[in-house]
Amino acid sequence: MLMHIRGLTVSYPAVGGWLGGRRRSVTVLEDLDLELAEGETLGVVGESGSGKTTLANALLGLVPVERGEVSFQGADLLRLRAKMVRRVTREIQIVFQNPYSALNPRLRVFDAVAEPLRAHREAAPTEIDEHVPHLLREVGLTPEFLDRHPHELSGGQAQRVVLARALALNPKLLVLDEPTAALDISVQAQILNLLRRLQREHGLAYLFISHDLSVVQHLSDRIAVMYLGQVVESGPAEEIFGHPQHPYTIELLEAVPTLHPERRTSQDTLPATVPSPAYPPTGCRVHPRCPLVEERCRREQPALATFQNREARCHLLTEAG
Amino acid sequence: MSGELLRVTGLEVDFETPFGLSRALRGVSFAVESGEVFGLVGESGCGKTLTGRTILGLVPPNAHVRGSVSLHGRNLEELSPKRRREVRGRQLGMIFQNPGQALNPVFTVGQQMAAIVRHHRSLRGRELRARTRTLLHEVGLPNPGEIINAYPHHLSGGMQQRVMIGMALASEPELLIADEPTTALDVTIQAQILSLLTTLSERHRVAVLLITHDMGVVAATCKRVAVLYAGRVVEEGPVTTVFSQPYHPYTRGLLASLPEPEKRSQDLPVILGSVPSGLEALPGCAFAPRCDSALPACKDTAPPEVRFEPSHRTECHLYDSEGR
Amino acid sequence: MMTPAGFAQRLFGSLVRDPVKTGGTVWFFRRDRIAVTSLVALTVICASALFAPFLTRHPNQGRGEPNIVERFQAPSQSHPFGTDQLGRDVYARVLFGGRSSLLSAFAVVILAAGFGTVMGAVAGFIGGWLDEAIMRATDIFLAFPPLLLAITIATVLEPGLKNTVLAISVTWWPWYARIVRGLTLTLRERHFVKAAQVMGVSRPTIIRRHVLPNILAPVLVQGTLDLGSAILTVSGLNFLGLGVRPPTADWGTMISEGRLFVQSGVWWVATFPGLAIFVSSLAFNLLGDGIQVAADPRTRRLS
Repeated sequence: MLMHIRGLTVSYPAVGGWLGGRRRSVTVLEDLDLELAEGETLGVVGESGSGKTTLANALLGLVPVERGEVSFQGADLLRLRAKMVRRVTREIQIVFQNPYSALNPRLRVFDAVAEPLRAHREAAPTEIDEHVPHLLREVGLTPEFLDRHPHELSGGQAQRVVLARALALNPKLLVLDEPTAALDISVQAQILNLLRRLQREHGLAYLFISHDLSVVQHLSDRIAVMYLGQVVESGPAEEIFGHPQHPYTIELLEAVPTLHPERRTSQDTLPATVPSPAYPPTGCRVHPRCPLVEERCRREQPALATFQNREARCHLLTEAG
Repeated sequence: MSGELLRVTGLEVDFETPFGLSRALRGVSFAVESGEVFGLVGESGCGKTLTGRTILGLVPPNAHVRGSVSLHGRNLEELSPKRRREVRGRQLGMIFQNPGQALNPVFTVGQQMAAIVRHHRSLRGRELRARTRTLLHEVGLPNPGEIINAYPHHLSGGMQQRVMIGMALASEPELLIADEPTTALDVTIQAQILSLLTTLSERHRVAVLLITHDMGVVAATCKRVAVLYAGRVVEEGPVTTVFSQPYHPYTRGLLASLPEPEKRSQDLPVILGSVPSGLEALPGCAFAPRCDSALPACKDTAPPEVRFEPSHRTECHLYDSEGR
Repeated sequence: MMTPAGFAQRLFGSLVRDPVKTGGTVWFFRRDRIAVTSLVALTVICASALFAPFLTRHPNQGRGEPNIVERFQAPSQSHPFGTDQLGRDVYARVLFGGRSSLLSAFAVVILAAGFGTVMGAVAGFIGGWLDEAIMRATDIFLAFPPLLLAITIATVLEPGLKNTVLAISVTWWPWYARIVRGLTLTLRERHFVKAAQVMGVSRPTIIRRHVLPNILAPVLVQGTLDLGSAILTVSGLNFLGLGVRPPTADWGTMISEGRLFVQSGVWWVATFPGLAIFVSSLAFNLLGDGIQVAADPRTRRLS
């Protein structure tokens, strides 16, 4: 296992009451368990408020973690000393949704890609001069881009620069936070192909976060479906997409518009709204929108149970065995 | 079908920019029939949003518009400016991508809706309230009584979009122009809003011009579709045939590049190059530089319009006038 | 609904992203006639202060040497701006006065903006108790009327050009700290800053490479706008006798001395330094506006 997440919990303080007097906290990730093998792609899907972006931020140390354990190549990330963190975390890099926001508008492509090398005193200046063009070639850009500024790049080119920068430190894991959501369809295909090639050539593992299920399906080996800060179902991609079991997963897959709507067993979904994470429903978090809800679901929270080839959090599935 | 509602013919929009004249639309033509959901798809910069805005008369002051927009066969350009505004206000409704920004945060939903209802029909008091409730009910909001008194930020994105649709319906328009109405929403909410739009077109005979970049959305909701590239409609026809048997190389490339279950763990076919800017002169086919099957003629001669079935047409040199 | 300006921005956005190099800030600035005129005017004013000794036949009078014989002469061929109560050439005095006025204005803005920017960036980026402490400090400074505070400080310290500059800077830095803190807070959420953190770039480096360059433009604009007010404020303190000591020339002190004679018909002693203050502070304001418009793509006008 490359990475092991156990009981990861993240809360944000929410200021409430008169003059911020009464503070309560909002739990955005609760007792999250995930595993990721080397060279594997784990797709994390969920709607807004599911906590998928918080998961990325927590892994990268961008938000404080309340409790839990993240072991990466055997080291517990959350309990490392500052110096060690720097050494271990260089192996985890991130690619954000909007490449223009991920690049400093005032830095040339060369300086953007050289930055991680300089930060880690990886290489002498002359080596950096050689290595940066090499990284650009890796992502399919010619050296003529070295002197460009981000606003002189197209969306696809900018996302390639972000990928080159993420690759500079030879990471083991790339967190991809909606990496194609801001791109056009024709560009999206190019970036997806590039991601597949880089994974093959560098043995990268991906944590692929997206709300676009067709994109996730295209790249992922395994899938984790999140809802209100919890994993409700996870397992091999073919299983989850081919035979979804959890009622929420089924609803989510039903909602995806495909090019072949005639293949779908159409059904009108109830007007559902994702409740605020500040006031999660009692019992099973999915129960207010679940078509199969029973009395027990309203009271008790189901535990994540393992079936033959997947894990799911649902009373009905547990009963059915 | 009860005939043609909207016809856009040879719509051209140029912008004056410090870099020269930018041609955003280079002759867009298509027609929407009464009560149908019509899709307008394309990538960013192809002119789909601008087409919607030009139909609504919302163009920036540095734009030059040519071509015609007709409603029920009546060319809007021939009307007086006052009459044109009236016709647009009454027969066209507009829905935006981001409902949160389109609603005024300091007024309740009821106040904002009532203001619009009053503008179109001089109702007062109880009648006004009743009409507002009916509209909220029509867009599938469960308890209009509560929603009327809510402020926009109390509502989720999906509910805000329903309110926007309700407001757009206040004038009982014949055509709703929906510009990426579900792009900011989650998939489950998107499915609901799309099914609402379909219902409106079926039950209330409201035609919808659905502007989107998402081919899946078009497939799920639209009856007919026009594919836009570099400010021109390159292919137009029934969704079923355009998506199953695309003729234009751009439509084909676009559909092929979508990730689908069958293409899992394979490289996706891509369209190389990038969309031309409005500043470039394009004497031939705008897609020629990126086209795999480009012929010598594509570079300098504008492609002819080719009709296949009566309602399926494309602009491409690859086919002769008989559609071969 | 998208405004025409917002729409133009989308259009521009797509143009600017073209791989073709297009105009940047300078390109737009050069098309702004008012801003360019202001820049030319300011260059002339600054150059004439710098080269004052070569631009007048009476450099010694400009430095303060009296010439009682020729006192209160109206503007004429030999004295274009007339002479003052000690017979000194007012034209020479205005040229030399520009030296102290402009120099102290620049010093005030550089000190206040420099200190305020660092404070604001640190407060915004590091956060926590440091942020709290710096912001409470700005609150305290902002709770006093700035001019009165400056006068008090200048009075407590010994009168002189250096202390005037110091006094005004002390009352001005909190404005910069606030602006910069706000800008930093938004930048901190930008993904390139987060990406730098993930890559292990140190905090000082992030502030230096990612935060400061991106707030430079707004600070520069604010600084240029403030140069106008700095000239006014410095002149005000000098007028009150808290700044430069006679016989050094300064626009503020010149007005202060000249105003005594205006009623007896000697208008020129106070008027010309007044005009100098008016023209230069107006020019700084117009220039600041011009830079703001050119540097911010959202406000760029379509010609």
